[in-house]
Amino acid sequence: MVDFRDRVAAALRARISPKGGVAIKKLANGIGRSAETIRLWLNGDTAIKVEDLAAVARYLKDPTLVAEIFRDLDAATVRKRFLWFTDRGFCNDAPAGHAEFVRRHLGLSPLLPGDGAVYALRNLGWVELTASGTAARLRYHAKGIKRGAAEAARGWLLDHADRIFSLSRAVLVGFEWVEAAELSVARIVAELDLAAPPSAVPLCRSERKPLDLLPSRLGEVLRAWRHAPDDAEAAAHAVRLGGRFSIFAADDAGSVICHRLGQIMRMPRRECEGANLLTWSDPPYAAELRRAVLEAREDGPTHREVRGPIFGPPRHFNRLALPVGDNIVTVTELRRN
Amino acid sequence: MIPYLDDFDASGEREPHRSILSTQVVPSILASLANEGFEVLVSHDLASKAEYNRLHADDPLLTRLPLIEPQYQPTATP
Repeated sequence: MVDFRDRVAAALRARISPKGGVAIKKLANGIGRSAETIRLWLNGDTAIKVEDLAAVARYLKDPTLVAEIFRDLDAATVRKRFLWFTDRGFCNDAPAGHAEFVRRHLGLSPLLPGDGAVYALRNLGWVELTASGTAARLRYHAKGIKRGAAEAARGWLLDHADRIFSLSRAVLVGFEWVEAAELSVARIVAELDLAAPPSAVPLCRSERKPLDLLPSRLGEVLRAWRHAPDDAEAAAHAVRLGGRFSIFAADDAGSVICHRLGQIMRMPRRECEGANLLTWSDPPYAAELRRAVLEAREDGPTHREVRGPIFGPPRHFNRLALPVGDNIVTVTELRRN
Repeated sequence: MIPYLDDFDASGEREPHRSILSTQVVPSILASLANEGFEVLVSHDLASKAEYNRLHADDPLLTRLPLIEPQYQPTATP
């Protein structure tokens, strides 16, 4: 176990008079601590607090102070590590970067324009991971991660779960990135399972339809909304769709927050309610729903037919999205087929 | 105009077509063309294509393929 008090003492002694150029009293005044406290640090009698260390480094205008004390956390240990999890279930190091690895793998010239990494995510079904110290960032495509790649990524994450404290991911849905940060390993593992379904499982599809093709019960809700927008919820209850009535808030930046999820919606309520849709663990569906909410905010009432897996199980339903006050509400009606 | 590498999307294709296209066909074509000094760029804007055709109307090297003819279809045999 390293005693950082000795390292702090040595680093400070090198900078404080008589060895260094700064007087104890001047430093003490500069960082708002007593000269006695500085002496305790210099003698290694007291551990320095992180904020005090930062204050000393700032006062001395000497960023090398921190690096000197934590020299074992040097560039070699915190350097970025680029990994590819491939369709064959391998974990490949890509020391020169993800894109370079793909180009080498496919025999493409480095001069050829384009992003080789995104090509692999979209077309090869690989999962990309960048690890830096205790942080890791995953990127994958919403459709068709290869099962082998998902399994390899899953295994790596579980193996490193105790060493990763900051985990983020970006999912490519069409040409749009759906990003979320501060996720748990368990959460990403669940996402990978959803994103790499057996080949027989269909993909989520969403099609905008004319409002006059709404199923009759959603048509009733729309009529009530046209009479008075605030009547939409009561109308949904009247036609037994109250449990499928959800409320969202959207802003100009494109953030969509789920305020309330319909009571009978079979989705992970604790994860979904109160959260930004982009953090949901079913990114393809979250991206679809986000688009629908923003569309309704822009265009007014909209009707979509959605078919495909939603958080796992296959679903087929019509969705009416309506602006009500500052929010967007959605009502869905399952299709019987 | 964007590089073909950025535009090509086989994510909706079934296997083994997806793998064959993305690991063999497309890289081979791009590498061969690159060896000849060509870059492949894609535009989804038909207006720019029309403008390109207009600007190069007299260019004898610009070949317009009659795409409707069977020999130019993907399933055609040489």
